[in-house]
Amino acid sequence: MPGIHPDHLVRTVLLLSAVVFAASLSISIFTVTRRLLQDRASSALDRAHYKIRSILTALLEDRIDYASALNLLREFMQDGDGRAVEHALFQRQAPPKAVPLLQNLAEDLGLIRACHSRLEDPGSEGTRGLRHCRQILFGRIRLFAFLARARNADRLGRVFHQPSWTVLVKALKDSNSEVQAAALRALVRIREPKSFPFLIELIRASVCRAASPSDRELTAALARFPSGLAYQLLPLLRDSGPRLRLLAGNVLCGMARVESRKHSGFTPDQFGPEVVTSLLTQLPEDKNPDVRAVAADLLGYFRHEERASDTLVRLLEDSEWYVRLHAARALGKHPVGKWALAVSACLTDSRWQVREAAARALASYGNAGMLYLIDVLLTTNDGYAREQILEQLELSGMLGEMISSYAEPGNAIETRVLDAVENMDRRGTALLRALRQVEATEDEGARVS
Amino acid sequence: MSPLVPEAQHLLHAFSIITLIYFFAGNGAYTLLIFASFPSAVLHNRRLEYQGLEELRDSGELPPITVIIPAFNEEDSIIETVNSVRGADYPDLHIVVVDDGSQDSTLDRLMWEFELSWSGLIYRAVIPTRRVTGIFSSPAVPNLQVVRKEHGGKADSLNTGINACRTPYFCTLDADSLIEPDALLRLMRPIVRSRDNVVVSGGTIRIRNGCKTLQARVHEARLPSSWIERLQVVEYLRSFLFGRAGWHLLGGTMIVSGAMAIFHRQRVVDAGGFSAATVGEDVELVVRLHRCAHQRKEKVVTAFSFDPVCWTQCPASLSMLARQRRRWQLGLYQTVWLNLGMLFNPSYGVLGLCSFPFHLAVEGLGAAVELCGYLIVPLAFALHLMVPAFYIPLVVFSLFYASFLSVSAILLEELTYRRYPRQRDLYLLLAGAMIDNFGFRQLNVYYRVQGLFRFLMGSDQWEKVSHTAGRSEAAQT
Repeated sequence: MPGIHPDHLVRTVLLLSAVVFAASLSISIFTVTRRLLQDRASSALDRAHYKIRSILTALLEDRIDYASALNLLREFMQDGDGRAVEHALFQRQAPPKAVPLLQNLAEDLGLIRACHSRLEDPGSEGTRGLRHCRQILFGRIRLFAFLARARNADRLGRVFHQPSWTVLVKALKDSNSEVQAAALRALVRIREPKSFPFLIELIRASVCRAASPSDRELTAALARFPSGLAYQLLPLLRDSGPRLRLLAGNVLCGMARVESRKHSGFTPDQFGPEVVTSLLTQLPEDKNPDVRAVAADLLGYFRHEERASDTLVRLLEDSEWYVRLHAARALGKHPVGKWALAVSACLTDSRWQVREAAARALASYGNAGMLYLIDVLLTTNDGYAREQILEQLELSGMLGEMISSYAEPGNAIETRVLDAVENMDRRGTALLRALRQVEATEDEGARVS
Repeated sequence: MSPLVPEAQHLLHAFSIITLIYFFAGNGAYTLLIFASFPSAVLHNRRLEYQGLEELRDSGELPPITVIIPAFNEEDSIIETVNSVRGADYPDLHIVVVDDGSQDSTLDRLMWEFELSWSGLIYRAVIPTRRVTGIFSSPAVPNLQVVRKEHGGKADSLNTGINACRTPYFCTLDADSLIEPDALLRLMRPIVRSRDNVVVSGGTIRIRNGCKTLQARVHEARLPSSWIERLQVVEYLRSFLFGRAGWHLLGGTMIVSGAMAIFHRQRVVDAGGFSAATVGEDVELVVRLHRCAHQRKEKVVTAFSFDPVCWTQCPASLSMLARQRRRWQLGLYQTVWLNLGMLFNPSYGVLGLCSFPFHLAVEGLGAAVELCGYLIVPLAFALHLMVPAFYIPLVVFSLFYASFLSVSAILLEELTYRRYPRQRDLYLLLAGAMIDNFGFRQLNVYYRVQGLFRFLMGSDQWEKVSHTAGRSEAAQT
C-alpha cells in the first residue's frame, strides 16, 4: 500500500487485534460480574417482595391495621427497597378486592404523586445507587425519557387510580406514541366516564390527520367503556364522513361484544333510544358498504327485535359479499324465525365465506335450522351448496347420528339424506364409509364392554 | 517474493484487495448491526414492562389465526409440537397439521392421540399442490385438522396448509418446535398495533437441545451437552439478537425464519404461496411479498420481535449440520437469483440498497471469499509468493473480531432476556463465543461453499435434517 510502511501496518493490525481481544475479555468479565451482581440483587428483591407481600396479605386478612402496614412499607422505602414496594403495589394481576387497598397505600406512600411527576418530568425520580445512575442515563437522555413516562402511565392504570384520568388525558398528547398508547391503556383500565369525550375528540383528530394514537387504538379503547356512554357517539354516527361513521359503529360493536360477554342478557337498548334508532334505520342504509357491514354486526345483538331481523334479511341481498357475510353471521345470533328461509337461500351464494356463514347460522338454530339445511341438500343442484351443507352436517355430528338410525323404520329423511350424500361425489361416499366404520367400531366396543 | 510468476503475483494482489474489501465491508456491516441492535434490544426489553399483553388478549381485536405445521416423518416430535400449540394463550386458534406423505407413524400417532377420523371438511385448492388424500378431524379437538397429502416437500405442504386455512392470518411452525404460551400473542402484537401494513411477523428461534421440557413446554433452558450444539446456540444468539434485530431497526428485514412466523393469508395467496423452486421457501416468500407489494405500489412491512420465542432442535451431528447449512445457503442463493431485480434497486429502500446486497455479498459470497483465503494464503506462503508478516496479523485480527461479535451477543442476551439461568451455562456460552471462530466457523464456511456449488450445479434438493441424536431431555412428570 503506497505511502504506508508495511511494518507500521503490521504493528497497527497487531495492536488492533490486541485491543479487540482485550475488549472481548472485558465484555466476558463484565457479563459474568453483572450476572453475579444481578443474582444477588434478585435474591434481595425476592426477599423484600416476600416480606412486603406478607404485610399486604396480613392487611387484607385484617391481621394488622392500615396504619401499621403503611409504617412498615415506609420503613422498607427508607431502607432502599422502594423498588420492591413499587413492584408489589403496582402488580399487574392484583385481585379485585386488593385494588382499593393498593390504591390507598400507593397514594399515602406518595407513589401516585411520584407517578404523576415522572409522567410529566421523567428526571424527577429520586432513587439511589446503580439504579439511579441508570435512570440518569435512561431518564435524562431525551431519547430514552419516554420509557419512564410510559411505565408510569401504565402503573396508574394498574392500580385503577380514577383521579389520575386528567394526567393521563394530558399524556395522550405526549410527543412519544408509546407514552400515548400506555396512557390510553391506563384510561381504559380506569374507565372514567369524564375521559370519554376527550377520546372521541381524539378519534376525530386521528381521522383528519395521521395523528397518534391511531384510530384503531382509540376505537378499541372506547369500546371498553360502559355502554351507557354510547349516546356520546351520536355526532360521529351522523357525521358526513364515512370513516367516522364506521369508527363509531366499530366502537358500538366492541361495546356490545364486551357487554354480551359479561352478561348474556345484553341488548343494545342500553345504548340509549337515539342510538338504537340510528342503528336500526340509518346505518343499514348507509352508502358505505363497510358501515353497512358493521351495522349488520350490531343488528345481530337485537335478538328479539323483529325490525332488526327484517333489516338483516334485506342486507342478505346486499351487492357487497362481506355485507351479506356479516348479515348471515348476525342472523345466526337471532332465534330461529321466518328469516331462516332467507338464510338458507345464501347457501347458494357465489362466495364460500357467505355459504359457510349461512350454514353455521342455520346450524345454530338447532333442529329447525338443520331441517332447512337438509331441505336444500335434497333439492339443490348446486354442488358448492351441497358440500357446505355436508360439512355442517358432519361438524354438528348429525351425519353420524343419521348413520346409526339409517334404514330404521320411520326414518325416511335420514335415508334420503344419506342416499343423497352417497350419490353426491367421491368425497361424500368416502365420508359415509368412514363414519360407518367409526359407528361399527363403537358398536363393537359397546358389545365387548 | 518469487520473481518467477508475476501473473500469480498480480492475481494474489487482486485477491488480497478483494479480501480486504470483503473484510472491511463485512465486519463494518456487522459493527453497524451491533450498534443498531444494542439499543433496539435493550429498549424492546424495557418496553415489555408496559406493553399491555393482557389488554390485547382481552380486547377482541385479535384476528383468528391458523398454525400450519408441515410434517414429514416427524413421529417423534409431532404430538409434543401440536400440544405446545394447543396450550398457546390465544383467543381464536386453529391448527392444521399437513402430513406430507410420511412413511413413518406420524399420521397414526396423531390419529391415536387426538382421536381423529376421516372427515369431509371442505378443502379449497386456491394454490396448486400435490393431491390431498384425506382430511382428518375430531369432535374432541375441534380446532385441529390433519391434512394428508402426497409427498411434495415443505413448500408444497405449507401451501396445502394455506388452502386448508380459513383465517386471515396463519403461522408456520416446524414440526420439531415448541412455542412459548404467549408467543402467538406477541407475534400478533406488531400486526395489530402497528400503523404500518405488517404482512409478516417473525420472532426469535432458540435451540431446544439440552433444555428440560415439561408438558410440551421448555421448562428450564439449558445448554446442550455437546460442543457442536453449544456453538450453534451462540450462533443463533448472534443471528437473532444482532442480525435480525439490527436489520429490523434499519428497516431492512429480509430473513424471517419459517420455523415460526405469522403471514397475512391473502397476501401470500396473491403472491402465489410458498415457492417449491427454492429450498429457502420462507426467505424467498418474504422477499417476494415485498416485490409484489412494490408492483402494486404499496408499502408492506416485515416485523421482527425478540420476545416471541420458539424452541427448535438443532443438528447434533456434523453430517446433519452440513445438510442444514448447505440447504440454508442454497436457499439464500436461489432467493437472490429469483429476485435479482431488487438488488441495488432504490425503490425498495433499505431492503434493496443495503439488506439485499449485504445478504448476497456477505452471507452469500462471503463464504467463498473466506474459503479462498484459507486455501490461497497458505499456498502463497508455501510458494513464497506472499509476505506472511502482514496477512497473518490480518487473519488473527479477523478471527478475534468475530469472537468479539459473538461475545457481544452473549452480553446482549445477558442484558435482555437471560434465558439460561445457570451460571455454568453462561460460562460455557462465553467460552463458546471465544472459540467458535476457531474451527466451527471454518467448517461452516466449507458447508456453505458446498451450498454454493450445489446452486451452481442447479440442484434444488431438499436435505432433510433428522434430530434423533439431539432429543431434548424430557423431565418426568
